[in-house]
Amino acid sequence: MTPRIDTEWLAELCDLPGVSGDEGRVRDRVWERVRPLAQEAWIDPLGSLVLTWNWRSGAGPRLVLAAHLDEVGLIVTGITPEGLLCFECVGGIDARILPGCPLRVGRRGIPGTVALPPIHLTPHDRRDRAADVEDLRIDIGADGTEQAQRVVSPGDRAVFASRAAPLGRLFKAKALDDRAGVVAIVAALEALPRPQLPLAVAFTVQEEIGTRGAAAVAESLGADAAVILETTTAADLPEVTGRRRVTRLGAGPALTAQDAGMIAGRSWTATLARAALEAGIPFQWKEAAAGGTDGARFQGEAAEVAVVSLPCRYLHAPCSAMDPGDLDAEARLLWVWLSRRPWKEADRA
Amino acid sequence: MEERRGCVRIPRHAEIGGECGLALDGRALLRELLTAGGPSGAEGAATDLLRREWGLLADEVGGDALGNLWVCRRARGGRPAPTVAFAAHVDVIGLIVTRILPGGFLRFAPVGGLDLRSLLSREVVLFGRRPVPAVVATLPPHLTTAEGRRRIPPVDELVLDTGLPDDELAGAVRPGDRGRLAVGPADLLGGRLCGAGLDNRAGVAALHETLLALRGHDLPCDLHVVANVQEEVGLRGIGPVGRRLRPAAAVVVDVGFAAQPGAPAHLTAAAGGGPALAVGPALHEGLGALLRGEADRLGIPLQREVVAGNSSTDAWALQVAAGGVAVGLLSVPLRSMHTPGETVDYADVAHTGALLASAAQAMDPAWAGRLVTRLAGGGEEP
Amino acid sequence: MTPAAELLCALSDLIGPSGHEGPVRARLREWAAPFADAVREDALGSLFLQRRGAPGARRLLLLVPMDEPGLVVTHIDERGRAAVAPLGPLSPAVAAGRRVRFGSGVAAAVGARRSEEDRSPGGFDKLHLDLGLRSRDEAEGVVRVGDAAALDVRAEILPGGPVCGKALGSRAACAAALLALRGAAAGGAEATVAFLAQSAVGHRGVRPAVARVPADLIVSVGAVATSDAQKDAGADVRLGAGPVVVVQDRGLIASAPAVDALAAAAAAAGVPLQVAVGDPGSAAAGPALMAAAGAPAGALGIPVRHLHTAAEVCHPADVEAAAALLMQLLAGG
Repeated sequence: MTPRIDTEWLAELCDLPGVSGDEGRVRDRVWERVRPLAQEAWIDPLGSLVLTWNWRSGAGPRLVLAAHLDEVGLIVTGITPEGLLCFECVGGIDARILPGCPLRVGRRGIPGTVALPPIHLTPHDRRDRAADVEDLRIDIGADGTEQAQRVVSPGDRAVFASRAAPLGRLFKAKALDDRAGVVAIVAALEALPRPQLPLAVAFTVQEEIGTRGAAAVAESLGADAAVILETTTAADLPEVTGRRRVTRLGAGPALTAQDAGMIAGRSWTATLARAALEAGIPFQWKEAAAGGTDGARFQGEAAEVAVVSLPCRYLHAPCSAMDPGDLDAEARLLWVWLSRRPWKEADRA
Repeated sequence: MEERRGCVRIPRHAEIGGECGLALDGRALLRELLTAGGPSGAEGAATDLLRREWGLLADEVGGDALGNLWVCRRARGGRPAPTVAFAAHVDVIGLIVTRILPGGFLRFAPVGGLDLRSLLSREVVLFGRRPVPAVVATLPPHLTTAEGRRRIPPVDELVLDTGLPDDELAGAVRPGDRGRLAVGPADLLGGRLCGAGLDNRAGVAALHETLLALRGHDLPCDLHVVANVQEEVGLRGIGPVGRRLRPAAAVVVDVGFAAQPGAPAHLTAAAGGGPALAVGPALHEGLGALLRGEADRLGIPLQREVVAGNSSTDAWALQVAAGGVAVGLLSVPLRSMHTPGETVDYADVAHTGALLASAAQAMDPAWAGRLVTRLAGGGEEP
Repeated sequence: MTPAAELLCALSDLIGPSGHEGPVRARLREWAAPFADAVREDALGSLFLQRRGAPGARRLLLLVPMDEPGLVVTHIDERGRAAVAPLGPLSPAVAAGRRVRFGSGVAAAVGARRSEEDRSPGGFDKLHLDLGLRSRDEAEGVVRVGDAAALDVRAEILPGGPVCGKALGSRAACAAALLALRGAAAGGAEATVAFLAQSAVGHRGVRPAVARVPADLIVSVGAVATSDAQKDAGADVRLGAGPVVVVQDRGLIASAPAVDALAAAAAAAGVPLQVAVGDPGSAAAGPALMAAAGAPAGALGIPVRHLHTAAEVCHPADVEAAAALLMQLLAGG
């Protein structure tokens, strides 16, 4: 049975709010789905969801698959007397996308927007400058502090209010980074027979603020090898040429040789490439060393790391876009690769 | 006075549905308008909707080759009645496709004053052979510097991403097709609304409230309620309307600046504090006094806005469109103008509509006769 | 030389700055009158040629500019030099160092007062006309304050085939309109071809024309600057690729029915049609719509390179194609 990407479930996961530190609803939904497959499972003190099979059996190298549950977003830092909300960004966001951005605020997902003083009243020499986040406010329509306080508190998160939907032949949603990775792992697991070799799956938290969840999970698991399912930049836009594109949509998942935090284990990456070639699954190489993932944390705990990334346009923005064919290929690659365990030493050259 | 005109009520949804089968109250109409098309020059989708809705509330419907739409409630009785117009521009800012690029991308230009600072990463919809969704593309961090991220790119450096393959895109969208921002509408707290296009669909909704409130009431004037076009690209639509209808008096309903951080307080009005009445040299004092009087009588909160010269609204163009029009300007306070995060308090829209309904009933031949001061001779008015 | 090229050269050479279109009006009247049922002029100097149409036919109004930018004499000094001000979009940089000619035939040189350090011509206050005379009296025998001159450039065919001349902005449109008038079969649309005066100084002839001529469709014919000269990613207009339908420019959003009519006429005539979105010019159709909004209005453009200079370039094939399109409209199509 080949793996199948459930796009409805992907859309549902992407639409859920799960800014770093507030991943509960996403984690619950994922647990609901993978529960029938679990042998051992727990939620660690930071909130990461970890599943293991045969982890202490000693039957082979201990392999962990990881994807993160959290997304970038905003956090409310205060309420002004006019009932507007001060905020800061959680994770890396280009502040230029914020003015006029539709949001859902707090536990109840109250609609809001990022208010921008009208350009008509802005001095001419400031009209082409981006506003600082400190000068922006979220407007939920409250007429004063009291009305706002009834529905929102400092510490509440706000997420981009975009709905997952097709965009031409592509698929656009917020939080493709990294719900796509989560969905790829689950699709591969659901297509495989029950694991006989040591395997762990870690759905980590707080990746966007510095791979915090992975740090804790890596230390507690002590894996030998880790494969990170992430997303990566596709800058295949007009006027961007060659290597500066990093990856492009429609050419399959990307394998990483090196990113900002780690140099990939060449042997594990080689087995992934071999599996793709032999199964006729398209893939590409990520052509830049930028970006950090949970991989660095696992490598720090003496695991060999490989990263499989889904090319995505407009990461960390309300409408990231990916090619559904690439996600299909990614799930298939993972499934093929896992089916061929244990890998012989010769294959890892 | 009270007995003659009675109180003007703001109809609730249930009443309308029960009374004469009309579908939309003001707020529902506003929501529909906010998702209809209609950037400057391509207002058809919005005026089609209004022609249907307003046609049920008036005696006559008219329009012209530019796309302007008006409806008329005729005065009761046989005496010559003054022509009065209430106008709100129905076009919204948007964009126009200039070039198709390979890979599903498009170049575009703004239609009207799109605030480029709020454009990155926004969803848009293009009105080609069919509605085509697209996203304003952004460059990822590795291709920008910290200094570069402080700068808003000019519009000719931006592209739209439709995700369509080249042949499908060529079949669906062509240069010259229009588009608009696809954000909202959303209901905020306390009766406030948020969404791209509240400038000036909120003004149009206020006129809808006026027409609803005037049902069953006789008028002493021939009242034309106008949804005019192409305001955002230089007040182009209102002139021909003025020349055609030749109103003695007119009130323009637009949106104005609401108080928000970063906007100088003395240039703004409070959202929720009622419409703002503009006063200044190019606005008719007598008409302003009439509006203020009606507001006081009905207990409608009315704020004041001072305009030293050009209000940058249709009022400026209409004043001289046809032999001198006594023109007034009411503004619904709006935050974050020309961004997709525009917000209004619907109570201000409703109050504007109610105020105009009351004012229309006061614009009788005697009042209108005082607009021109005849000094000699007894001939006909021009 | 093809007929279109010949006509284009002849029209380009005529002297007719805004407000002083006499020579151009006379020649247009001479060439076009045989193909019209009625001819009249209005107070501004615009020329109206009417063609009767079939009963119930669509009423068509074509707006065609006939004037060009120029220089008007504002003062004659004691040394016989004339101070000038511009008429329309003529820049000091283009005018300085050129020869100009008045409608009377008198020629003059545009001289610039320049210091050693200052290489630029500055504003028009630094320019004057040199008539080769030595005193005010002598000069006033030849020109008066209020007379206007245009660039004096003889049009020629370039090696590639296009015509290089001045005033092509209006004269290419005139050529297309004349060819269409001559070639269109009778008994089609009820048409008026209005050769407008004072277009270059703000389309001043449009409002009187629109007020006098009732129409069901208004089409203005003019020039569109080619893209290679522009910076913005707006219009994508090339020489030799056919006439242009202007969807939007600085003063016009073309009516959809007019754009459709132009596209249909192009298809019927078998000519390619380019599209200009965001053209930096201002077609007469814009003021026409704002004047009355009684009829849908659109703009047809002929691509011109280096617009508003002394060496504009325009392809006769584009003029012929525009004429073929206009013939379709005149025939009632």
